[in-house]
Parts: sequence; C-alpha cells; structure tokens
Amino acid sequence: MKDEIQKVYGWHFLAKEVSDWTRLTFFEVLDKSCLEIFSTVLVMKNKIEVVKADRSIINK
Amino acid sequence: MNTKEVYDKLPASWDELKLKSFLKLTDLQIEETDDFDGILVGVDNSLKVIATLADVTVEELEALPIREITKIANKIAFISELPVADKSSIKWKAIDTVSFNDFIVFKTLAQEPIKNMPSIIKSFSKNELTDEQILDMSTTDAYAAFFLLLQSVKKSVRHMIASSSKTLLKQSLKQMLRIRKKSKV
Repeated sequence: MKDEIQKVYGWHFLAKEVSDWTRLTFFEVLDKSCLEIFSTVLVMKNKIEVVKADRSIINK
Repeated sequence: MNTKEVYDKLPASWDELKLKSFLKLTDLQIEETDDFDGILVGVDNSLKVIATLADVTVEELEALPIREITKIANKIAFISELPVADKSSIKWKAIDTVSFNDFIVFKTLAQEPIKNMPSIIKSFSKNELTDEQILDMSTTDAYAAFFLLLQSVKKSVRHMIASSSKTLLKQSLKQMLRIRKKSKV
C-alpha cells in the first residue's frame, strides 16, 4: 500500500519540497520544465550535503 | 465461414497488427502450463488469439480441420517474438519542453505501458493525433515509439545530471575549502 502511494504521490511530494525551497507555489512548480525541477533537486541535495559537511567540521 | 476467410483476416507480422487489435489481445486470459497438458492449453490459447484477431468465435474455429487450424496458427507465430524497436514514425515532444506535471503523468501512465499506450502517445506526441489514428497505428510503430521515448528520457536525465553534477561538485569543493580555512583561523 505504501509502495503504491509512493509510486503515485512521490513525485508530488517532491514538487512540494521544491516549492518550499524555491518559494514558488506548488502549481508553479508543476508548470516548470521537468529538467529544471531535476536540476533544482540536485542543487537542494548538494546544499544539504554541504551543510552536513559544514556541521561535521564545526563539531570536530 | 471458411479457412481462407479467417486466414485473410489475420496479420502476418507485428507491422500488420494494428494497435487496437493488440490491445484486445492483452485483455485475453492466456493459460500457462509446462506439463503434457500444455499442448492442449497451447492450442486453446492459439484459438483464443485467432478468434480475437479474426473476429470469429472459438467454436467456429473448433469446427475447422486441425490441419487448417495449424496453417492459420502458423501465420500468427510472429506473436511469440518481441517486435523490433529500432524506428518509429511518432515524433515526441522534446524533454526540455515537457512540464514537471506532464512528466508525473508519464511516469504514472508508464506503470501500465501497454494498457496506457494510446494515452501516452496522445499526450506526448509532437503531432496532434486523433484516437482513431493512434489505434490504427501498427504495433511495431507504437512499441518502437515507446521504447525510443524511454531511451530518450533516460539519456536526457543522465546528461542533465552529469552536467549539473560537475558544476555543483566544483562549487561545493570551493565552499568546503572556504569553510575549512575559516575553521582553522
């Protein structure tokens, strides 16, 4: 059941994450080109890794 | 009804098999078995396929001599092999013009690609096609189109990831070096 929900709604959850990150509305994100959204997701992922690395250096 | 009438109605290749007929075949309940009964089950399955494609009943086919049934079944033997997916007449919209919403629709439809083939073609083909035009396409055309679309999507996404990753990697390395320098000071 969880897999079915993930398959159908997973992409919409991702759109919501991008919307929160970029301050676009959810519907504006859906209207953007899919390659633009994937690029944004890569940037988000990368920033998260940089913040994690930053914190691990500070905590040392 | 005679053998020749049935024989002439049947396609001889995937190119001759229209998408609307192929979709009817996907609704058939085909039995599978590995034991001796498999021979009889195989004949039953063939009769179901022939009846669907020739628009006759299984009972009408059972009335024909077995030699004639064999000849008819040989004509549709191509169905046991996959069609060749090397080119298609369908041109797809460029991936960078497709919205994220359309991509989600594609991923949802692609979970049952055969059943949703007409919808996928109608939504993502560059040329506007009517339902009738789509259903009259050859199965080879539709199958190759879908296969080539998947290849094109994967290639575009890989290329995008590779080019974005390179830029992002450089930026994050620079940032991490800056952070290290700051923490040492």
